[in-house]
Amino acid sequence: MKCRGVKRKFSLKRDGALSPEDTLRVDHHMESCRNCLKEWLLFEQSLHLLKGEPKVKAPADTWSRFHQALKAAEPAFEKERRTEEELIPLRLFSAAAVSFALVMLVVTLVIDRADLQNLAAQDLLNEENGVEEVSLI
Amino acid sequence: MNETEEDFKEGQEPSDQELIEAFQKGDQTVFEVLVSRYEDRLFNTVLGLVRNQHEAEDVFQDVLLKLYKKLKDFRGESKFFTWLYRVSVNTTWDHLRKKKRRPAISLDAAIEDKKISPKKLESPDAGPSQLAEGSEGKQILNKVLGKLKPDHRIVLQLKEVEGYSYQEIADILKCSIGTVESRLFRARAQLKKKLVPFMKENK
Repeated sequence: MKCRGVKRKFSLKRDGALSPEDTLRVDHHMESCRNCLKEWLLFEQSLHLLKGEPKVKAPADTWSRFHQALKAAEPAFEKERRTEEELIPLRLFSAAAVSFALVMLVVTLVIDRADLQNLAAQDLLNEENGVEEVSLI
Repeated sequence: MNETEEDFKEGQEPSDQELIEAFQKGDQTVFEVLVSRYEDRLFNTVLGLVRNQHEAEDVFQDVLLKLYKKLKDFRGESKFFTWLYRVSVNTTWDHLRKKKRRPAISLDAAIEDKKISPKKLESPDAGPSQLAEGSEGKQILNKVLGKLKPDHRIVLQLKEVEGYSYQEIADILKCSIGTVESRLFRARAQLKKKLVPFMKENK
């Protein structure tokens, strides 16, 4: 395994997520490569810094601040809720209107098609019976 | 007294699920009881990501308001704690992205202004833990983390500080384990790259 490949395995090695074969290969490489060993130690140290962070408690005034903020935000929440509720009938009406328009379009197309078929049949019948088209003018 | 209040008076601590149901039925007073069970852990996560106490307090308030607003829609498709974390991380993420668009003091500029001096770190005794504990070390760490992309900062916080597994992080961030692995790989590499100039002299 080359240096570049070894460095790419550092993250998984740290989490113990490397296969036993890869772990052996990486460890074997680092035994003979000072540069990779140094990189590994720096890698470990940089992450170790994050672990040193002390745990803190949430601020004591968290909930009093929250209730104040909620009081201020409540009208906006309520307005949002109401808008949502008001939008429901509007959405239903829009959906119904679109559905109605689509049905009407289909019906119109069907009727037009039937009319054309009737006219064609009539023409054929007239032709068979020898009736000539008479102009009304 | 409503049904849920009577249930809580039985002397037993109500479960998260019972409190969620009570909230969704309209008893909004249970919100504080429910979320305060996790407030310290959530606050530490927000603080770890934001790296500034006052800013973290403000962001945490936004998180609480968002949780309050969204809790009525929680359907239990994921664990409650995962959901809490997801909302908290996403709210903080939005804050970090917005902040990134605003100009901030860069690490390089801070060093040039002598606000941060790598000198202290050049001492052969200055080990990694001393760097983390010292105020200057902490300042460096804050600045370096501030230079990372928000998604890198988040995976580092969840993995290195909170100690979550790949699967748990994937659930919180709603992504695949492969994405967590690759994001973590890049985040760790970036962190090392940015910290090495301050650590090299210790070797």
